[in-house]
Amino acid sequence: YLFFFQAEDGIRDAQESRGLGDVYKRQVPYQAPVASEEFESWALILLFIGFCLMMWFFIYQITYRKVERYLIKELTIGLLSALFLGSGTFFFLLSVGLYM
Amino acid sequence: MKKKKALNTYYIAVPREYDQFLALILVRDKNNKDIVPVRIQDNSVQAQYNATIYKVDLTHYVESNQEEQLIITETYFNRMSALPKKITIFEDQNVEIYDNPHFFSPYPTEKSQTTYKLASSPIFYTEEDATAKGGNIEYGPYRNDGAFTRSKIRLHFENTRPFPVFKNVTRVIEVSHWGNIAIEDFYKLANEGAELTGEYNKVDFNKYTQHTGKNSLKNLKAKLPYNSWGVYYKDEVGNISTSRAFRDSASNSVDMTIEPRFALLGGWKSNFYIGYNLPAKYTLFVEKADPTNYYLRQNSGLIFKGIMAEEFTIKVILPEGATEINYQFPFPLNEVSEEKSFSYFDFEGRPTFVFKIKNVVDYHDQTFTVNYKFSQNSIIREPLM
Repeated sequence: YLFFFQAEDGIRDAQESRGLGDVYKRQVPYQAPVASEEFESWALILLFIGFCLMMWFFIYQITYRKVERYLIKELTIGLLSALFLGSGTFFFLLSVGLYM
Repeated sequence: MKKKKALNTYYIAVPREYDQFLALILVRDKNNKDIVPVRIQDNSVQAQYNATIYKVDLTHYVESNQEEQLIITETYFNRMSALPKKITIFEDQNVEIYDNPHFFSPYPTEKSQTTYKLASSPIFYTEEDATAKGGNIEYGPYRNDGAFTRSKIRLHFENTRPFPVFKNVTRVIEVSHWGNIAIEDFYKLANEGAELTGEYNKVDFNKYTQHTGKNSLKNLKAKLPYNSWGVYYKDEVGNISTSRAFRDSASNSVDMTIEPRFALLGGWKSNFYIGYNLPAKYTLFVEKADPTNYYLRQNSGLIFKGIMAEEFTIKVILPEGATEINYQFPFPLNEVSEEKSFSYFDFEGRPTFVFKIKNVVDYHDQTFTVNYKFSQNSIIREPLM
């Protein structure tokens, strides 16, 4: 889409800025769901839990023979570890300054 | 008997030959407010006198037979041209300018006087009606000038400073609701001073030889917002290490000095990027009554003061899923358009608004607001992916 506006009325004076002051009072600074100081902590904890789950998954694969393993258990552990590792990586990237 | 009216409208005329170089007019009346005049439609009067007329709505009425003082500030660019156009590395840069010493106005003028303030005595000035006092050349006083009085004087004087101009500045502002605003500026810088005649060589022009290449552009100063972090200065080749930045609480800004890879002589150009980040809490605001309503407040001017940008494009990239986007600028824009940007985890793209302003000067250093609605819960989608 392209909207083309001609340079229009350019008169601005004090009344405009007086109105803005009232508007500014109704606005508060934005707070992110996770404060930037906590990004590293979240990343570490989530990644740690994710790695633990991933290790549990591998050990489960190695310890039991194929017929003794339960698919449901494999899928559940796999999914959980993926969730934690994924969000842990996300917070890790946030902590080094790559905001998505 | 005709009753005389009170007026609150005033008209300013600018000769057409100078109007194309006009960046800004500001009018200040006794209430000390800066008013921007509006150009009126072309009409026969303007065609007849080869003038452009601007209309000012004053902040109050002036009664009949009353006097009013107005301060009119006109900012021009490219009015001074280097003469000679090409100089050697050892010579000083001289510039010439043509101007109308009479007050060019749609109204008759009882008395007028024009003073040209130069740094030093000029090489040449038109002598008619002129009184020279060192660097100040006074023309007039002229009495009983009619409307649209025209004449031409010429000044030729020394000005050894570089003439930096940004041919194009593009700013990309990316908003992330995880708490950061990332800003990257791209600059096309040119030095429009006297060009170099002959070959450039480092034997004559180097940092050890003084008083050579006086009109070369060696460094620029910028002011970034106080809470900037992650500042970088780079170009297509890579990072440029010749820069310094200092967070100054006294001036409430980050003072940055950059030195381009090479000193820009007259006619030379250089492109570079300057990027920085701002924590969202300083520029992004939420409406108390309606927490889905967000306001982004950003600076609409350049971080370099005293340098004009011929074209300034501001791109604001909002998070995917932002709707009902409005914007508010304290001055009129030349062009507005909307597009989509694609970045991490995007499906339909991030709404991007592109604002273009021409001939940006220090006056444009104000705040603009972009307002949008966004459902905060949708950002959880990103880590889940």
